[in-house]
Amino acid sequence: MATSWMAAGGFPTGEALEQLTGWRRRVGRAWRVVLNAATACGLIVLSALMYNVVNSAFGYALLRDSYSAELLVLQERAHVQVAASRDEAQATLAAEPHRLALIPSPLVADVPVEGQTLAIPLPGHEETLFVLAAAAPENELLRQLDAAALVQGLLTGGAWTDVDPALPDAPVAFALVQDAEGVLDAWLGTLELPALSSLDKARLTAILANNVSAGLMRRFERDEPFAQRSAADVLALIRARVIEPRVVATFSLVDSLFRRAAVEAEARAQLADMEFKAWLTADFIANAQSSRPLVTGIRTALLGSLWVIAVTILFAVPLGIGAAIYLEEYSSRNRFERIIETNINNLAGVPSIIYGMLGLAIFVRALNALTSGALFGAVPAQEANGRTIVSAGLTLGLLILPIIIINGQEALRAVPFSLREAAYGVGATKWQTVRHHVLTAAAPGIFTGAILAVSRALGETAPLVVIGAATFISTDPNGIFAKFTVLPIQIYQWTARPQMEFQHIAAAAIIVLLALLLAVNAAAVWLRQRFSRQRL
Amino acid sequence: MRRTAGRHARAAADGAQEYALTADGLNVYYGAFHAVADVSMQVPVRKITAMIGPSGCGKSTILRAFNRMNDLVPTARCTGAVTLRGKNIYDADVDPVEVRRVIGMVFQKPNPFPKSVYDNVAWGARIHRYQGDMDQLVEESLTRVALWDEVKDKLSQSGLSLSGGQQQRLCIARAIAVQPDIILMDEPASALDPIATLHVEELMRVLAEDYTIVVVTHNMQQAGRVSDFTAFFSVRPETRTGELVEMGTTDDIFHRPRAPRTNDYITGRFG
Repeated sequence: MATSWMAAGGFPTGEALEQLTGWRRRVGRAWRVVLNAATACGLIVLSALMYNVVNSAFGYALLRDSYSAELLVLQERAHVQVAASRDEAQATLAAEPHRLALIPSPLVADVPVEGQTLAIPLPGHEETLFVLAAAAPENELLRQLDAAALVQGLLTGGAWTDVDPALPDAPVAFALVQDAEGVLDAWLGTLELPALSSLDKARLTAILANNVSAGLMRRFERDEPFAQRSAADVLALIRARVIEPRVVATFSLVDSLFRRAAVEAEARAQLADMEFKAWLTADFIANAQSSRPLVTGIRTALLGSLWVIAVTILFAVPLGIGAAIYLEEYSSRNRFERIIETNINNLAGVPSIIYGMLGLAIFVRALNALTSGALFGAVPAQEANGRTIVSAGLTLGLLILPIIIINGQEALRAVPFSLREAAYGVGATKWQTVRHHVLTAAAPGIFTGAILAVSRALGETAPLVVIGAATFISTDPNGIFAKFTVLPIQIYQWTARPQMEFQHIAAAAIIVLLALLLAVNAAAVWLRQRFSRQRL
Repeated sequence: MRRTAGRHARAAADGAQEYALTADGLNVYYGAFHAVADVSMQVPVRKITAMIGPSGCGKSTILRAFNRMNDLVPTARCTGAVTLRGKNIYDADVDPVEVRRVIGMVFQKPNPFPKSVYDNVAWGARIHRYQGDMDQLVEESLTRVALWDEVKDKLSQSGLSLSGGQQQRLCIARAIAVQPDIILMDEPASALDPIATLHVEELMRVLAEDYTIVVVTHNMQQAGRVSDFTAFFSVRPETRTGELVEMGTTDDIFHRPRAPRTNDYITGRFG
């Protein structure tokens, strides 16, 4: 073997050559596999991230209208008349033969009852009896009524025949002595209420009318007469204006698509409406922050992010590009300037939380009067609070300044020296050379670097937590001295909530943040193209 | 040796009484490295002066010292004098920018600006606030370098879209557009094909009617073909420092060299 290697002037030949060639090919192939695998790993991780986010942002939600029985019974008093005194109750009963007196058992002893009475133990609450009394001895109702029918009649009103066709044709009507209202409330609170979607339109309309102002009702009527509206439409109005649906369960997109039967079973078990919900909607982007997951939005955080990033850009980009130009074109590279440059390179690697502490010490505390706007009369001096958009913007600006400088220097360094020579050769000054040729040639690189740095700032959370971004704020930022929150902090705060619906809206917010970052990066690409074309 | 060389140069230039540029005891250092030692030479007006010599002899360095282009190299340092219009351009009160307007330069590799053909020519004039008709200046400059007919329909195209030879002529047009006295050319044809080289050489002859041209070349045939005067540079082997060996009319240097080293170089015995 050793001898064949030494043949032909030191280079391998014959079998040894073949072996060597095969070995070199195998090494090449092995590296290709390694590099492919690295790319594939990256793609898989990225896909997993996107899968996770999208999976959470869409899917079925089980909604139950969370309302109290009062909505059905006491606020809409059509069928429950509360009498101020026992005498008044007696008089009402006497006047309307079909009306039943509703007397909770603790009060029975106090109430003199004339005519027939019936005590009905309530399902699940046997210790509480309701004694029903009718003034008219011939009232058929009392003989046929049972506990279930009583509850349903009480909750839904209408006519007894609606409750059970066998019952006499009479409107559901009760009389209640004022003292007993509390007992009734407490009892109603324990009841399993019917789904609002099971009610008819007339009743839904009545509920709506009872709970919104007359003016609003007139507006609804003007928009579309109630006669023409469907029950679902009226229910939507109730849900928008009167009650808030409660999320009892949520499902991921994959579960929603492939385990629909299980979702439906769950919905039946929970007596809830099944709704396919895109947590990411136009309303979600346009709504202000709220503690109610179904109506909360990211407008506040989105505006906060845009304000902060605007301050960051105005501060860091000109400063960074300027510094890059000085260091690359004007610096004489003496000891002092080399130290500065080394430090800038090191600063680019400092953890962002450190910048947060720096920002807290300098912008929030030391420059409080400036960053709170007190110096400019934006707020009274005693209310000066430096935890503002301008503090956050400047802190993020400091954070990305070294990155912009380094990227800018790289771009300037890549401009061929011959271009500078050409300009100097026709008698250009340094500034003319830099301005007209070097900057034009380096612009795509400089801007790409700056924009990528800005997109890093856009996703930064830690320093802003230190600076003191508000975790809950429902007013839009209205200037650089406003309190603020930003998208990443909003997301962070939502993911920390135990309720599952917040996980879904966090996912939706992540999609918005990713889209924003994508837009910023697309702007970088577009700028690069534009500048490249300008250079011809 | 220096004194000899200087005497030769002066003797050779006797016929051309007028000098556009005079170097006196010019030394160039890059940091601690003494690149060129003690060069004294005179560049006759409206003639082509060629600088020849082996690699590393400092001919390009001297050329760049003539319009203070070495200032761009942070470690470069110059002593001695280069006199232009009776003024040492290395005096403290001289702005190198002014010097470079009077002494234009053409580089080894064509380096048009990444701008349109028109702007390539017009830019220099524009930064010097040229008051005349810019279109006319561009046309004249391009005509002067025999490029107008080739590019008049694509003035708005990028200068980089032209061929190598065209680019180099564009660079020459750019140099003459600011109306310099002297044009320095640093191996202007070394990156070009033979045809393009021929174009550039012809162009140099034409331009010599109006401009003083100093050209560095490593191609001796080229020096013989185009130049009126030739300066031969060599390098001291022990220190790698370049020096001017002798200068004279091209005819004298090529056929009657005084220094043995010149003779060795001319006849192909590298010395």
